[in-house]
Amino acid sequence: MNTPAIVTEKLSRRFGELVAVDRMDLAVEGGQFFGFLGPNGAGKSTTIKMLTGLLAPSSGRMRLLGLDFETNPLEVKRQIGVVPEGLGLLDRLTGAEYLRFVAQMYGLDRRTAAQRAGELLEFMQLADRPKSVIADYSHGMQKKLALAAAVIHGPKILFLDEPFEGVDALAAGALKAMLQRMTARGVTIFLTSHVLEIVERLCSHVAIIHKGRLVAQGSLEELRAGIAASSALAGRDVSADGEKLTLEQIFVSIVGEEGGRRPMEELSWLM
Amino acid sequence: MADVARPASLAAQVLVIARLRWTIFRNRLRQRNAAIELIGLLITGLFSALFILGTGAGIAVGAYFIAAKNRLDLLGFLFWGIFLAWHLFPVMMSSFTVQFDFRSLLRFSLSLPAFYILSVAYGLADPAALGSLFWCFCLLGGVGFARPELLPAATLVVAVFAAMNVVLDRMIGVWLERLLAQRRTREALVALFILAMVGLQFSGMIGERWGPRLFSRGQAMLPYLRGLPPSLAGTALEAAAKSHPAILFASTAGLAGYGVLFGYFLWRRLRAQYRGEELSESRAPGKSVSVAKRPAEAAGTPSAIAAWLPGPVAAMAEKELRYLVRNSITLMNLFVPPLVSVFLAYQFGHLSRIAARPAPAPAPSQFLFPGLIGYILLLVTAPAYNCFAYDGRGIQTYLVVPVRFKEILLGKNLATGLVLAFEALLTGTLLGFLIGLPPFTVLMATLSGVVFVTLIQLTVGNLTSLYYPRRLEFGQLRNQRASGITVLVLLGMQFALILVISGVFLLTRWLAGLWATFALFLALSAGAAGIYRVVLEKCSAIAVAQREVLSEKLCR
Repeated sequence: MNTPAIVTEKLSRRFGELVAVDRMDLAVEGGQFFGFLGPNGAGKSTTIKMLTGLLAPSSGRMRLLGLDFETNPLEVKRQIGVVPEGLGLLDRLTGAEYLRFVAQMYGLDRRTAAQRAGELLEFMQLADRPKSVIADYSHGMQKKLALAAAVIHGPKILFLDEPFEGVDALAAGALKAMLQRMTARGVTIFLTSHVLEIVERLCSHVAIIHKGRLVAQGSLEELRAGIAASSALAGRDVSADGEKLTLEQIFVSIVGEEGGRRPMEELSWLM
Repeated sequence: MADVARPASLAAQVLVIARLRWTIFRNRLRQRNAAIELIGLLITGLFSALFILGTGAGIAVGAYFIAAKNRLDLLGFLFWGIFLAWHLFPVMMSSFTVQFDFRSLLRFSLSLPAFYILSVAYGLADPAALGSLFWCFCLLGGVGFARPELLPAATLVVAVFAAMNVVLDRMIGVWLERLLAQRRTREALVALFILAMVGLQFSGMIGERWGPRLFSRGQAMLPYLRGLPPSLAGTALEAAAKSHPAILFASTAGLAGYGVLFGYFLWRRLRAQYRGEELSESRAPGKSVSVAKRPAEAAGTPSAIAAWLPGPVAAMAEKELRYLVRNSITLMNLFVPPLVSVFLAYQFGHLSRIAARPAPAPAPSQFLFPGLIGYILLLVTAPAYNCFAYDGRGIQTYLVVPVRFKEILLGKNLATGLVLAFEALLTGTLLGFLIGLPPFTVLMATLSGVVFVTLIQLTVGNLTSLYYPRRLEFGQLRNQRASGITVLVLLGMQFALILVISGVFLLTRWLAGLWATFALFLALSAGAAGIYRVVLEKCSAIAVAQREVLSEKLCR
């Protein structure tokens, strides 16, 4: 039996009175392209930060590739790659210098570091500004560089927080293809995105978090079946045109039911 | 139909910015470590307030006696003192100003004149400017008490002088920011520094050969100083006392003219900012470099430092050195010690040669060498107390890679050590060339003392960097400060270390000679090395416990 890539048990994180993540039980199998969704402020980034060691959980446990993060932090970090929320770049280095730096931090020797850094710069179309420091890159270029740094050591799990935001269509296409090739080779990808079409196209499995609680988890088919069953019980037809439910419909249906308060539809001075 | 916002009045905008600065300050005190920050802020503020009040009292008393004894020709000196303090202190006193990127206001509907006036008002809110303004009032008070009949003229002159300084202060700030923002201009300024340093080496020779002639030429130049703003202010008041209205108004007009001139240069700079100028580290991308390189070539080559150090430590040290040379402020700091050493060597070397004629005096390098090395230590190790300052969001890289923080800090400390060694070597070589090397015992005692102090400084610096991190903006001079508590710890440590070093030197020199100093510092260094190692080991665990503070303070 394969070891699950990510398992959390009653994982919680509080910030004073606020419970950002509430007793989350999450399971992600190895090689899955996993989409982690939720509205703004639901706890997505907090979860990713805990899973990557940027934030300490208030309670609960988490195991990555069978390793307890608390007791084996370095071994876990060796196996994962991260594109954090703020990208985490050392912005006064050039792209090549930063990639070589990260590679050396992951223990790669200088020759391999330089070789991989060069390949990644070519792949991400960042090789034509060798003297520019990262601070002078556009946001999209910085995002591509952060992605390059996350994969330079060949991670087994890749955590991506909004990886395609600000990336041009051409580069996004190449990135998606690269990520799909990685999952085909057994790499687990844990991705958050607000662009549900991208998640639907890429991800085989999805979890939805709302107000810190995990409200749905499974493959897209499982979620569709779940929504259809609960709608039938309630006497509603969520898919009026008879077609398959889109991820957006699933998301709105689940978060809408859980949400309670509806957002305002009009602003008094724009009427 | 949507409402369209009406333009806000300038007064309302100034009020909004004043409220904004207060809100930023208040919110900062609500954050974690706020109590400690506040204590640091209060203590630093108290000392600064004492300094400002004390100096103010001195200026008031001085102005009173100058006016009472009808020696108003001396008032120019007071104006010069205020003038120099106004424009030299901002950098030192920026340690307790609220950090706020003024240019961010440009996103709002602000006219260029409004932006200009807000910028000047913003400059006036600087503690150094407020202190200098207070000194102006003290001067006015002193003159007014002694000679009430001079009060109207003094008020006019001091008001124009103050207004001119406010504008000049902002002008210097924005132009410095502009000049230091790009690598090419930064390099030009560094080259100027080096040229000045090299030029100073010849000053002794020039002085000996053409000294008297240069001195008389210099004296001839003195009247021209009367045309500069502080002298003009002094002249105006002197003229008022002697009932020469023409000179009074001409001097005041000259002062105002300077204000207009500085105001014009400030206007040019702010206009460029208003039009969307973005100060960046490198030039804007023009043409792309053709990419016919192999991948490994595209990644460039690692520097030589990576060749002899283990992986992550080498990478860290290399990164630190790259950051050092790309940061105009830290880079310029490196040129100060050699410059000062040449200057002091000339000053004291020259004096000692004169003194040595009747009776041989001890070689000046015997005192200069330890003093200058101590100075370098203060300068080079100070940034180690907030060593993640320029990493910003890059701290996340350190937190996600499989490397313990002790290795990260070791890399940073190693870079500091290399810089220190380079600076000491350069300064030692310059001193050796100019006035000769110190005796071997002094050399050894100094170097062993350096090892001890460096290890202690780095140990404490690693802890303050983890506990009280504060982000600093790259290549910027103004409003860049470490946390209040870090500044306090740094000053306390430097004071304590100066006491220890002086104590050791004095005790061993008179009891057993300088070899005993060397031996004692060696023993202290061994102890300090042990403490450094123990603390460094603990730093990894501290960093894990502090990771949220590090992210919060450095990623904002």
